[in-house]
Amino acid sequence: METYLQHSQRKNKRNPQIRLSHLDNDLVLKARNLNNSAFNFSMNSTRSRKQDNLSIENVFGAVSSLDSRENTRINDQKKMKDKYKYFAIDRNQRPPFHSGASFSNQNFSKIKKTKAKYRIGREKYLHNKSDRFEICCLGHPFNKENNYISNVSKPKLTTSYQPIRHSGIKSQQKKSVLNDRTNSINNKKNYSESHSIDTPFERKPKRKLNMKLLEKSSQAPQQKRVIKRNIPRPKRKIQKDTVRKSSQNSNLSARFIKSDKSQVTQLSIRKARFIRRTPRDYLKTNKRKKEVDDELVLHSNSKFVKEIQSKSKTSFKKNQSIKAKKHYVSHMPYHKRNRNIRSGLRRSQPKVLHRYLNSEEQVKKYMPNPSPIASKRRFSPKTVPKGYIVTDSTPREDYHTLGNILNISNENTDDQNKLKLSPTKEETSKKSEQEENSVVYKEQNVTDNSLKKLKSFSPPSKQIKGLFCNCKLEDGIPYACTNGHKWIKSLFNVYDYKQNEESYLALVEISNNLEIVDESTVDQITKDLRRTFQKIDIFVKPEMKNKLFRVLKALVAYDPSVGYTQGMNFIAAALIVHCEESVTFWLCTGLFEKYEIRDLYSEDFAGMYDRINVFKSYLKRYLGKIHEKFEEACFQPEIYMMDWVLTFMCSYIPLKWLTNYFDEFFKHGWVAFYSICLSIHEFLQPRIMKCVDIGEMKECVNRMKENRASILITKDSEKCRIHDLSTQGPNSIFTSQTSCNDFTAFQRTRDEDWKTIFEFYETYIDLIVKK
Amino acid sequence: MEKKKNKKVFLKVVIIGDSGVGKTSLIHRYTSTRFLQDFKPTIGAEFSNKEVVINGKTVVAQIWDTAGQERYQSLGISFYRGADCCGIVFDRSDHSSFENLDTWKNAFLKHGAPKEEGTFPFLVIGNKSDLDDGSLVKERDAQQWCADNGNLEYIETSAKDNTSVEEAFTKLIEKGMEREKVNLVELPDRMSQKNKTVNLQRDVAKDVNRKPQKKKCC
Repeated sequence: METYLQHSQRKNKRNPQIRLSHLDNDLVLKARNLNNSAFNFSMNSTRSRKQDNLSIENVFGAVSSLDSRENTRINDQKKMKDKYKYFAIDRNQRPPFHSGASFSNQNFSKIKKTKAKYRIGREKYLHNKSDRFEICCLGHPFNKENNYISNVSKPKLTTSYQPIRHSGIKSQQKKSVLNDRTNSINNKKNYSESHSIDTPFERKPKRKLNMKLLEKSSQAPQQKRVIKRNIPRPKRKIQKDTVRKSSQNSNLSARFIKSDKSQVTQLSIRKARFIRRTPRDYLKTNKRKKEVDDELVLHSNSKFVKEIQSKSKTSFKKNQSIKAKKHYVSHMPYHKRNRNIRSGLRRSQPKVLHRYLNSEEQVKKYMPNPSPIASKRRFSPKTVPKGYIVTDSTPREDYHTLGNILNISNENTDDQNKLKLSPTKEETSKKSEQEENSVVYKEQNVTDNSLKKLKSFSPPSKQIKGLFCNCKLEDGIPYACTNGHKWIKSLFNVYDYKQNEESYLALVEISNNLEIVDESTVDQITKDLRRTFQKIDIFVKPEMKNKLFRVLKALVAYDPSVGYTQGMNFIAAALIVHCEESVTFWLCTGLFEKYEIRDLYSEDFAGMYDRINVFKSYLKRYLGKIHEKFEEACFQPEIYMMDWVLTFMCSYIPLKWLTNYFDEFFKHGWVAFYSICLSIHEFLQPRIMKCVDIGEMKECVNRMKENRASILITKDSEKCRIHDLSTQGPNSIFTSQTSCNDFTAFQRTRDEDWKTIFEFYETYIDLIVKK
Repeated sequence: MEKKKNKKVFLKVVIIGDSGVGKTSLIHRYTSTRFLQDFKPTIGAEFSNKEVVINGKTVVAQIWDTAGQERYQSLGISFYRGADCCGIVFDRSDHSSFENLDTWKNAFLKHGAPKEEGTFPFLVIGNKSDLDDGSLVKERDAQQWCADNGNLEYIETSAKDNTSVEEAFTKLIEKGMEREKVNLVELPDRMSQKNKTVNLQRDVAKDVNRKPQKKKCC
């Protein structure tokens, strides 16, 4: 904590960064002469450019020169080293932060000697991208060697994030199962209450309690003791439950392919992805367990269930290999884990298939009759508004924390107990399941009504390929979409979900401290949360607001030097739709680090001006007419570009097709941004050319923004397409002529320019060092 | 001389105030005569034009909407320049926004650098008067603040109910016109639109850091 306080005291001081602007004007002029393209030379952007071959000494020299300029008069390099302490991070092991610092490059031996202590914040921040190393004093809080958290004395997760993971299982193991049920409900209550205390939004009571269950528990106190003995502990039960159910699912998908090899080759290949590795796969070696499971399935209706279960209990104890169990839990990617559990609940199976069935015949063949539960979850076409399709009818919003998931599975065990109490119910449920299976076998029992329903479920503009992910926005299933995980994999080579989630929670805990996140920023965030994607139902809900609130606060705590600026809320909101809380947070930080969004929000908005200038250069190069027109009228695109850059286009492009945009962005980087901006301009070109006045031009761009719900932006083969849904005919689809490849070529030439500039820079610094 | 009278007069109106106070919705109400339902925080700045006939003259008012967050103040500064009048908005239901009026006024005078500091036309607008809980900022207090800060005018509006929104803007524009008369003698070129545009380039933003040398940049 001490370090943190020190940091906050230091916060107000100006950041000594290497800037060309601190060097002589001669050099600047030379550099400017080099700069042939229209691309504007920007002083402050040096640290965001590639600094090839920039050795450590040069960096130090630069800092020293900088300091001499600022009259601190520390020219001695040794003193400098004491003052600024750097450490290196291996870039390839991102998120680098818990992978630890590594100093393999020879250049860094000097730093080693200084025994750099890591400093928090980004005050002294330098890049060296040459050898996949990054020198910085980033002081990432989650480096375990770092003294950040260790000094803070491990945060106690008691208030907002109750570790249900711990309390949920350990405490429940000791208590009776029936008490557990009420406990879990109470836990949930506590969870929500604690939220309402911490966060400014009130939480509505989510679900009504299952009164029947409670009644039963009160009615049959005598059976309690029996149950106590026979029922194994809930933790193991979870696994059994999921194992059984998901194994059935896997069987389903296997049957599919076996039965129709001749007809669907491609489909089977596609589907093959969706034969998930079930927990069964991990437990294959355990034969006896399998047998018992089979017995369970076969004889579930018989009266000997109890005996078999007692058998299974003993066998479970003996033969369950702990390794396999651990392997299953830890090595499954998180989203798969999540899915498995859900597939146990029988929800995603028809959905997933539905995605890959195109023609009606296929739908007839492969779609099982949607179960009554599932049909309830889906939206009815009447309720769908025109612009945005938003449904959120699922009763449980908080899938995102591990603890919650475990809690859910605890409830499963409760269900199982319920089944044991009343075998008749079990029978009925079994029957329904069997019915579903039979539908799949016969393949043609689908009624016309269900087909109609299915058709109505399909999104309105399905013609456009690859547009919709199966995310919450479309289907009403929370976090069924894997986009977030896909993106985070592209950002970080190694992503350990558990660790990152924990560290995120720790940051949330830290951010509750008012010394770190001011009241004013908290007020600002709450103000802005009211105004982010206001028309979309999801963001009106207090749950979502709370999530966003926590993410934004954590972002502020992550880098207090940047703080909160408007525009971040849109980015976080656009990402949180696709993934869990912690993943969105890490995605945001990834954007901060890798794509240098941090510079956008720096104090003088240097990054923003850079981006705008680069875009203007593109505009001049590719759309010269518009550029001339703008210059004639003295219209500066900064007026609207500020919004575009700072919100990262998230407020401009409708939320629905932002997935596409992010896909593109995580592939190509900022080039995707520029290309979309340019294609929008290209789309508007005829209208802009007609304009006479500045106001008209502005309105022209704004009108596009207002009608953006009817305008659809897609990207096929790296070319941007704009679909004007309000009109029909050949003019409705507009394809831009520029593609990402052009941009990358242009970028290369620009980079070469930069190289030459930096050569100058280096020689200059060398001179300084020698002196 | 007759030709000159027929010419349109361009006025630059800048509206400032805390975030979430209702600047954007006020402007939207005035320019497009409807209440904004889907409001989102203004980032950077925006402007919209409106033609009005005041005292027989057609005036094109270029109304600038600035971002309210403190962070964006350094950006907003570049829009203050060349303003003819300024409206400072506060939220009547939010006392802190009323207390910040001082800082807003000072910032405008500092960075906008108008020639006549004492007599520059300000209008203080108390928005959201439709939210009447009894805990609103009282008219007395607001009037007193205005009296203390150089006899500024004060008006209470509500963008939602459309109460005296037009009045406020016409007042602002009239005030700006008066000022324009004075300036017309000194700077006849001001009529042309070209000189009215704001330079949004980086060198303006650099004024924040007080580095006047680097005008050439960008």
